[in-house]
Amino acid sequence: MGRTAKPTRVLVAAELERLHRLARHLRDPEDRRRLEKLLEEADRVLEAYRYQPMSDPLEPLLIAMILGLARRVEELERGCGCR
Amino acid sequence: MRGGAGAVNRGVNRIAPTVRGVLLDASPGRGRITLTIASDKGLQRATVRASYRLHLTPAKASAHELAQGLQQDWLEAWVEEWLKPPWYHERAEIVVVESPDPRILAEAARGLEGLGVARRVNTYPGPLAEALWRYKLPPGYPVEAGDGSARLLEEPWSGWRPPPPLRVAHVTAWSWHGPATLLETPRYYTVECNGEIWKTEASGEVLDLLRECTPHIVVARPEDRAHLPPFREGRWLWFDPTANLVSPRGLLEWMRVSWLPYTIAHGAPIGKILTAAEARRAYRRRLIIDPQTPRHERFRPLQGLIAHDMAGASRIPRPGLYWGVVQLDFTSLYPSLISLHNISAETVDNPYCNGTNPAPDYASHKVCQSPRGLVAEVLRELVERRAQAKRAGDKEASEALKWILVSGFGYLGYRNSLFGSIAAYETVTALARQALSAAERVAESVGYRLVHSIVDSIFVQKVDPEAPPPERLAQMIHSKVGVPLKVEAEYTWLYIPPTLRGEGAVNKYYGALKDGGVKMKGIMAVRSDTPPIIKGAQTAAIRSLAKARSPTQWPLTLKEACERIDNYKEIIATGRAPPRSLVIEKRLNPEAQRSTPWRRAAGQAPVQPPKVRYIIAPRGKPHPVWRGPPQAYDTSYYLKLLQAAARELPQCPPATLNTSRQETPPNPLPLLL
Repeated sequence: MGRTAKPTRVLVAAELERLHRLARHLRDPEDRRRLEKLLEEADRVLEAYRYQPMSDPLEPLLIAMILGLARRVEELERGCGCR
Repeated sequence: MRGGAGAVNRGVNRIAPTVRGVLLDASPGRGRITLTIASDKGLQRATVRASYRLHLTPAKASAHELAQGLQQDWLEAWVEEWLKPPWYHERAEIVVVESPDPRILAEAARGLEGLGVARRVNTYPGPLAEALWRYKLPPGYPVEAGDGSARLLEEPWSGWRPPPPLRVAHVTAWSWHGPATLLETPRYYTVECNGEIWKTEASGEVLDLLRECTPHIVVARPEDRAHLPPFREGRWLWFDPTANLVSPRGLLEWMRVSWLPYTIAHGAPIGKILTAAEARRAYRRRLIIDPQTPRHERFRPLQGLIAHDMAGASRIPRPGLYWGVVQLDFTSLYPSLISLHNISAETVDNPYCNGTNPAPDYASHKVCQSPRGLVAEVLRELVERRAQAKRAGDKEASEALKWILVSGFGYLGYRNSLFGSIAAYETVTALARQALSAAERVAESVGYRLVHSIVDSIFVQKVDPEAPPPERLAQMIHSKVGVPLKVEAEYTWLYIPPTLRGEGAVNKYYGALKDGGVKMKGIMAVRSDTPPIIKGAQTAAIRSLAKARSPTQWPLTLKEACERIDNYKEIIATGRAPPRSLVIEKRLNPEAQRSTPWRRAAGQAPVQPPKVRYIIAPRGKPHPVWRGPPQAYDTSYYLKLLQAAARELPQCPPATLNTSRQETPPNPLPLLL
């Protein structure tokens, strides 16, 4: 009995750190900036993983980035009246 | 094949006169139990003739052979059929051994276990407690003893009745900074008894005062007792507030629940109280409790372990100011879920029953609904008892029961727990996540916005004018989840301070309550290691903020709050803070190695205390209080603490800083003086 698994936050923080390092190695500075900005979304979804387990520490980051992109698409659609 | 033991059991010493009062303590003896009873005359003692029992499971011979072999002059032995762990679905024979002499019994048990002939079962909490169960002598209840019998005057668990009144005295030794430490000679003592308070400088007079008021219980820290003259009369029972989570009345409630006498219950961890209550229930249901019976977890892949090793849910709140917030709390969420879904070590994943999964989206365990689980049954009674205590307005009993209920869940997952199981533990956390999520969805569906949620509380804002009132919302969630909720607080405004990372902390918030007053959680003003001057500064600022009853009033009250902080800043910076307002108290972790101010302060003492009280003297040097008040203090250290407290407040408008000190009256330092 007792906790043996590392908390979600610790696992995701390690994954986030790895992706930040990856971003620094991207050739295009604009791509670096884009990835860094998408990674900023992580905090928005992390708390949901206090209700449901994650399958992989990368999962919350991918979902956060997809949601971030979806939000911006919606904003653009609203801005241009395409929706 | 029970022998003459019954005759021994039922005999009671005839003593005169009859003693009537609350049974507080009991001690075992050869052929007797000595009862300590709190009567009108003070503490009185009565002796009841008694025998003691142990329960054995045979290892080499049959139970009947073992029982026959144990029959001696001082031992009676017979066979009984009890239910076998871990699933209690079949019966097994055990041998019950009885003797009037507890030492003979203990020696017999040691001998049999040494030879590998038998093993003791149902050993918790011990032979004295088992004897009290059998003779129906629950501590904490009124009894009459001495006239040929010890008779219980009130049926335990027969509806809520407040614990009988006890005379409780308080003794405190005082020094310049507050209650004296072990290393100081107290300046004076206070004795509080029968509604009166006496002050004396002579330690001997303390005992005289106590003898005069004949208390049943005297509350005093070890530091308070250390300077009193040697005292060996059994006129009262000592109560150490540093060793107990609850008050003396709370302890009495623990005794009533666990049937543990005062000496065993005093200073006991909560788990012991709960386990004793569970062990008694197991005894009544004839369930064998054998710590050596393994309760294996069923096999599952590593990923499954990681996925289900989850605690209760909580959100990471967005920091900021929220107007019109309602906080709804589930009432005893975990124990209620345990009771509602019949969760117990023997009911979860039981291979001999077709259970159902009560939280299919959150866990993969199945729970049997029949028969009632041991832990579920005990907690159901405790939840009901607490509700009754609350309805009766008995805060101390309610608080004492709350502690046991809190531990009820934790002990399911504790490795040394007699009644624990990790599967049961995981099912409870899964159900709690399901309940919290359901509460959030119900609130959002009827016109509320979620501000924050923590394990068993949700904080919501009404956004739809047509949304039902909070009480109705609580009922709607109750009918969905099955656990009642109460409106814990209605805030005019709620503030969630940002952490250094810029998020809100899970359990750090404060706000102005609609019906007056403020509620503070997790901030420096309510932390035990914050010095009084910093607590005073932050509390004063929050009280100023609490004057804002609408967003338009906020800027003015914020300005006043910032001025409060400025005042304290000036008092600290100019060296005018009273020394006792600067005292920091820290509990020491004996395993810690890092050099910290509190460890350096404790290192100056000839003996290592559990807690250390100190002031930070110039150049950051910790000055323990037992050395007397320091000549000066480190202003920069205390200013940094004040700055940290100010960071938990909303940001001050730049214009108010250092400009309006004259507008605010001199600060009265309400918490300091």
